[in-house]
Amino acid sequence: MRFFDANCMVGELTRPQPSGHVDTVEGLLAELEYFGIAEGLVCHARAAERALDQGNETIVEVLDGHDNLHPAWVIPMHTAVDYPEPERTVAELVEAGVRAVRAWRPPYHGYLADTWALGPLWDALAEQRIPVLVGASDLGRYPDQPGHGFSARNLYDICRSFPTLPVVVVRLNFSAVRVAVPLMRECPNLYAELSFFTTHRGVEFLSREVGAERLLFGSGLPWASPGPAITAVQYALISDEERALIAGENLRELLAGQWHVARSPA
Amino acid sequence: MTTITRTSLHEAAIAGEPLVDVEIIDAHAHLLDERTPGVSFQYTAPEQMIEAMDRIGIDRACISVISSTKANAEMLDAVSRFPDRLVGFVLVNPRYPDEMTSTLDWCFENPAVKGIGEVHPTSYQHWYPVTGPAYEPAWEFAARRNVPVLIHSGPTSEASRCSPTMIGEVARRHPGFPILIGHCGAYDSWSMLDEAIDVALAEEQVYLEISAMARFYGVLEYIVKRLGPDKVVFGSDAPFHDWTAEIAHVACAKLSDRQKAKIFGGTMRALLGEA
Repeated sequence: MRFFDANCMVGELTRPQPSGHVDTVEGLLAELEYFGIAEGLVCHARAAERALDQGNETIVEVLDGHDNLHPAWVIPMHTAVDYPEPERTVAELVEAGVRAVRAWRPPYHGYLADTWALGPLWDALAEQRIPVLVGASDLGRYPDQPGHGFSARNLYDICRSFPTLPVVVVRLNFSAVRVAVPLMRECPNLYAELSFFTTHRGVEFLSREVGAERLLFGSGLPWASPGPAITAVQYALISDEERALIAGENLRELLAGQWHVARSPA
Repeated sequence: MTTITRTSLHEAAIAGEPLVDVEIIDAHAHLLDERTPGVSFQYTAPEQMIEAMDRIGIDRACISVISSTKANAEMLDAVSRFPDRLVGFVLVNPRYPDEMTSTLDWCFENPAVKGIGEVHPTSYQHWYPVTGPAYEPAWEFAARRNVPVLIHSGPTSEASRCSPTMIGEVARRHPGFPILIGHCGAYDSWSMLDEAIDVALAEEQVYLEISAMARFYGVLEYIVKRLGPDKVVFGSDAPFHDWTAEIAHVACAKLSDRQKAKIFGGTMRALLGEA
């Protein structure tokens, strides 16, 4: 099984956990080896927490020479002001070897999902079929937490507005099943990353309801350990073909600019 | 690059093989309906829960119901049908204090019932302080029989009803039975985790159950470094969380297999009076 981590990060955190965290490329490689993970899609903490351009530049630099680590740039939720020339930005990121971007969670936001507010960059990303991993959605919200990001309605609007854009909900939460399943049925370009999807026999359930081709393994490093997401895939009562898709093949296809149109639910 | 040594339990888990070389007792699981108002669950019939346990190598799970003590009848039915796999824990409700002792007497007639819990003082359930007098019959019953009590604790927003310090107060007032602080007393808070560790260090009868909090990187290693491996027990909170994922918190921790064996089942076996 060739695991490909859709959700990991390097760089110094502003608020590290008392247990420590992986912050260097060397540390990340050691952690991936410990868990038998072949590849990682990696963004930089500096981009996620403080400085987009510096962090995005840094992630490309520090991953240079590591063929199994793939850089992901971080973009703001709304790109109308910051990226007036979206085609140039997309050309730059493609030139830098970036094949996916992450819309990170800002501390304060209005979360408008209208296309005029999201900005022209999303159109350019859709044109190139560059996946957007959305970290701030209410589908990734733990039930004890208040809503802090894109609602299910926002995600629906985004997926319908950009039908050729693969959108990945990061850290799908177990409490979101009742919304996530019908939403994914409605939106064939919506995917779910599973680093925090701990629903009882949930991988089996989602594979049955929306298809294994819509699910991505991710670790959640540096805040979480890769172990639970790996064992959730490995122990799931699904076929080995489905297991391979979730473990890494789906992400490889997404980064290659290909994506499935989900099978229709029965 | 620094290579981290894998243990045999780690190797088996990441390969998806059943963990057959270690006894695994889940100290914290539930018997729930598939359709609850808050969350949709799947495959929650006892037979389906056991199918999931078999896939992973979980020997036994301590199960309890939530909300109404009337549902203890469902727990009793399940542990009667699967006494080798399911251990009964009894739900008590401080909002009906006069029924507490009779509920416990009724349930403990079944030999597969061996504990009390999950005591749930938070707003999710009974919203009553764990130090309040209505819980006294349960503590007295547990002390008389020396049976373990699992008490929910966390998250931060619920600390006014069952913080680790409040559970420590219960322990000081009622020695003589093991108390498991659910979710390491923390759920989502490192400061509450430290508080729970301090309570476990101070009170001989207090143990930490790891579900939910263990999702953060390095939590188990952090606890063992501060508390040692002898007062930490594996719990999943299944079916709120999935055994397939929760098992990794112990199996894949950067600890020795000997330490993992204590956490997985060795300590809980003793707390169930079976050592």
